[in-house]
Amino acid sequence: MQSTGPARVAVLDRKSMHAYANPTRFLAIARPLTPWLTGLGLLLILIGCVAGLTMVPGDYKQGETARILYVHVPAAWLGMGGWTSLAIAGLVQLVWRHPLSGIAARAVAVPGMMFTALCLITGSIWGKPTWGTWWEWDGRMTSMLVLLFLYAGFIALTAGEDAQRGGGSLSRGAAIYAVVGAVNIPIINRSVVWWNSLHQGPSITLGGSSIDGALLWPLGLTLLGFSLLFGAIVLMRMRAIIAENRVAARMRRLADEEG
Amino acid sequence: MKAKHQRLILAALAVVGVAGAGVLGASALRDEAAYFRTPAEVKGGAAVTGEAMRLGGMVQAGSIKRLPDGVTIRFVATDGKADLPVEFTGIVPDLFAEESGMVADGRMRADGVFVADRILAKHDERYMPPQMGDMPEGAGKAAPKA
Amino acid sequence: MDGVITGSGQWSYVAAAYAMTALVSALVLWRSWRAMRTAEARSDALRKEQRGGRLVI
Repeated sequence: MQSTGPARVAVLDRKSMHAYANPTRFLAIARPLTPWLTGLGLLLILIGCVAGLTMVPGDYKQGETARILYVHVPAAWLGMGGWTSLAIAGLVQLVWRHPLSGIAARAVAVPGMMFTALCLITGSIWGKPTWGTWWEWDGRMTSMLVLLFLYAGFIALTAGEDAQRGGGSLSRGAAIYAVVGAVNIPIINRSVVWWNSLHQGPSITLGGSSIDGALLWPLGLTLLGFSLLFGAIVLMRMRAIIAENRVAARMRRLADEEG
Repeated sequence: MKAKHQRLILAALAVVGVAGAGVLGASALRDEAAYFRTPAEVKGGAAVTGEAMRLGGMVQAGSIKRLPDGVTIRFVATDGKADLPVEFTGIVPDLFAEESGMVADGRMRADGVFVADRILAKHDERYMPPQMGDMPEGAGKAAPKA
Repeated sequence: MDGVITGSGQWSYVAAAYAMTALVSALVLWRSWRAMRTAEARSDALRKEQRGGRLVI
């Protein structure tokens, strides 16, 4: 037993060892990073929101409702940034078959969808007093709703295959779906420029910001804060998937040894 | 050639193809996906009298007039190229004002007036504190900094 | 119709937007954290159990 054990394990484990190799190094960084990202993110969000709600003046036209900007813009950025990283992870999985890419893509989907939904919700709440409507089918809102459905589709697609696939990798179909869905990202971004829309044009461009500096600075805090929180949630979900994979691998090995 | 390189080239081609298709599709939708028509487009024949459509433009300075019935307003919508008179009965959003953007649902009447049944205010991309917004009209049109 | 949003009603929109954001992100954060803790605890327990029995890896 003592002499044959290790060799036998090595043979049995070749497939799952491949999935292990990188997560071990990844976990050495992710474990200490998770609480730091969470804490710092929440702190920055708190400061940014308090500043946005109490320390800066309202807008000259929109009054106090302009303050919704400090949660709406980070939500929009992370909803779109989320799919961008999802698409990159899908591409990495297709080309390099990196074991962490599929795990990362799965981990990004839920927080990405959450921020997309928050973008739509806060935008709708802002739209009622500003435009006079909760919802209109203009280019910006429609393409953002499409992004929400893309996330829902990806989650449904990968949840169905979770049970059959070890190591957390994506099926080829899910990876291609992630890459193809990225077409929507530049469409969302350009929708207010290409088409007549109810949504205003971009406030912050490469050329500068049309948001006055007195109103702009809390946005920097909430943008950074929500981004860190997004990263923390992604790390938590990646760690959960890796741990689940390890449990599944151990169970398989146990069954093999006993059977 | 290694399989990895093959996959990389294939993936790169796919990304280029998908991006190209997206841009082509979006530009083909240019007119279909427009949320509203501008006064210039209406004058150019984009509107059929009596057919439901959506008009968008700036409210011309000094053009808002209340009709004697007290609830109907008349104003001129402009896009800088063409002007179009608009008539609306009802309550407009707070942000509806002269020299500010608006979107109206309605239809063209035979006398060339756009009759709106609903008006939305369009906000622009500028955000600034009230004291800067109080600067004289016209000066606010350009960048808020002197 | 003077082109400015005024009145105290506007704060209720602001409050609703911030409350929704806090609620939804807290829910997802909490669920993600719990899923991680549960999964890692199971994995650790299983590893200790196997180490106790015989040498693996």
